[in-house]
Amino acid sequence: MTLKPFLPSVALALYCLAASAGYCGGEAADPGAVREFGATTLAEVDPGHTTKAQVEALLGQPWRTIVSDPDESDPEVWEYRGRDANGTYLLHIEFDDHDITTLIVQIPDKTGEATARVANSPSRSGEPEKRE
Amino acid sequence: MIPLNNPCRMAWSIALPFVAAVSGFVAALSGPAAAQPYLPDGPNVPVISLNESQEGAAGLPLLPVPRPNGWNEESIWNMEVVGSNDNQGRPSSDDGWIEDENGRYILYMTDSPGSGYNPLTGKTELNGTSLIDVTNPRNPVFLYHIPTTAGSGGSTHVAVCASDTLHNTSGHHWYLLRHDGSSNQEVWDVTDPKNPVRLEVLISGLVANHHDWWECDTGIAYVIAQTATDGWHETGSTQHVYIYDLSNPANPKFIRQWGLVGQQPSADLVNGQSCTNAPGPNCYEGVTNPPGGVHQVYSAGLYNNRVYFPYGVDSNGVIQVVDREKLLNGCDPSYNQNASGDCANHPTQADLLYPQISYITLNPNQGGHTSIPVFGVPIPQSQQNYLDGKPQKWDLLEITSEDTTNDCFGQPWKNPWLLDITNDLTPWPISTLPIGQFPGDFCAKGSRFGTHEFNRQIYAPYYGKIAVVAMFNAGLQIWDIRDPYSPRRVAYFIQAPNQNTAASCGTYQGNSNYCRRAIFSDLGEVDDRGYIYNLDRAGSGLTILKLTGDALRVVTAPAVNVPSDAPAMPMPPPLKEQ
Repeated sequence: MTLKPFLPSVALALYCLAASAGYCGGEAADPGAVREFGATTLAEVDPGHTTKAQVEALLGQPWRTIVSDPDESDPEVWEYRGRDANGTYLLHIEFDDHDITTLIVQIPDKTGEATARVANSPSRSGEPEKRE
Repeated sequence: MIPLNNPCRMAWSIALPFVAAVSGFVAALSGPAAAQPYLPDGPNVPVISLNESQEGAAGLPLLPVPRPNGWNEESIWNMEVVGSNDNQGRPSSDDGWIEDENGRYILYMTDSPGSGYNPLTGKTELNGTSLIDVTNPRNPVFLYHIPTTAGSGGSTHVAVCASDTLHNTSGHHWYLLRHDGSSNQEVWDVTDPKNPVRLEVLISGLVANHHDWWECDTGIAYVIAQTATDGWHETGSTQHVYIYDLSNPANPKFIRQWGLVGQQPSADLVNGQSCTNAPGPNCYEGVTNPPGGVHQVYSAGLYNNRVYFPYGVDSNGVIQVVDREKLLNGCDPSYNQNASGDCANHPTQADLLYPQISYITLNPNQGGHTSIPVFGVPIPQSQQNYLDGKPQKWDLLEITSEDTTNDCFGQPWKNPWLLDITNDLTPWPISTLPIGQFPGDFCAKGSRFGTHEFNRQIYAPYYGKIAVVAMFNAGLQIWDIRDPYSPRRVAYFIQAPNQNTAASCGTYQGNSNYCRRAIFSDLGEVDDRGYIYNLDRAGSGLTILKLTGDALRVVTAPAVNVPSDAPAMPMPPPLKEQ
């Protein structure tokens, strides 16, 4: 028995499965879905050097962005949801006014806290962040 | 006191509080109710009954405030979580409004700038306005997200009115006033909350905007905005007020621009001096030249005829009290023959002074973020033997100065406070509603700690009794303000971070690169069923709550009568001319 007559049906079924999962068709895949980025990929994000465009090329579209009002001074934030061997985490990346990464941190969902990798200078610490 | 010598009265004395409590509870948490006649749907405010003794807070038992749990745990006291919704992970903003639409309750939740994925459309959208059906508060349903289109997006403020109250509309419609990023102020027809339609752009080409107010019965809209060319001046938040007649949202009629003396286009930014120290034609009100931008508006409507404007947000604040009728008509020469020729857009100092009743300059550490009036609050300790011997009812103004830095960095401790505006020529502070960083260690909890906002919507049983204050990472703090000289904290809700809570990074225990998920209660609003809505600016979503225990008893305690035979103080004789 050959599978050849069934190949178009199988292909259609796979396509429909993929489409229903949001991976093809007119709609974008859910950027909020948990993704496995890989430690090597994340290590390529170099605070102080990596640009916003490079981050998007490396990691794809963020789940959400957070931007301050025009008269506020908060950094722009991109957040992703990720998973590694230790479980799921929030990936949080901050950018300066020139769209350069200043900080990246993986925050495990289990603990909700972590230490960030930051640009060597200028230091973030001690700067007031004023918002409304 | 229970009358032990009279069994019938004794039984009634025991039963009455129970009956009152139960009926109050049912009234408090049952619905649906008809649309409120209260501000901003009508000109009225609820009549407040005194339901504690003349001893006020001093006569109540001590109410120890329990210590909050750790930063990653929920803390809740005298409240109960009813339901929640994730708001698609979008961070909320300063505002929210719950509208009773013929028994269907829609929450209009404002979202901060940024973007997020909308599973209903399969697209990533710039944050805008979230429409959430909260008719069943145990199961809020996300209906629709009205995205924004400009810049980084965000629609941080809303006002909603129904055609049943707007007098120049027909049919049964609901309208939403909001801004699109920093670019437009616009009106949407949200009658079908799953299919909103944009009706009208009020103002375009904006560079700033903020907290609007819309009188639904008159249609007057106070829109906070600024264009690059309107010529007004402010320090800090660069915005002032545009006033429109929006009684027909499809046909807005501009009335005038408004701001504090010193903000008008012709103000002297170089040589101007303080109006307090050197009153004159070139002076500015407050302590900065030009004064800080207005942050929000609260109109007390037709009957009370006042509009309250807080300026300065987080510092150098001014609270201004304005005669509403003179404000709206002051540029009409048939009403005010001294109005200048371009009063509506380029007012003179005299044009701005004409409707002003008074202003109070704050300590420079405090800004004007919020000013919300409460009219006719019975003063427990002044029910007899004062002034003319009549029970005293005072008017109050709830004030906040926003805390605008993370980790309490570089700003003083800020607390909400109450102004006595019974004589609104001379507003006077009478009490604060203090929440310290300890217990709770809020300054080391990530994100911001401090005051932000009072609830603005009126629920009659809460009016003049319960104040809901959003304190950022200290959550919602609920105050008993029946004795406004001695406000009493009676409940709180501090949300636990969840998987949608954004990270906040700063210095903690010497680690300058420390990050953690930190909740950020931006607003605690109420609806006309008594539910309380916690809106989180860190993306943690919406939580719907109700009061329990001692906090609920503040509302449901039976009214008390002032003794009718209380001796009245004799009025002093009239002064005689010498």
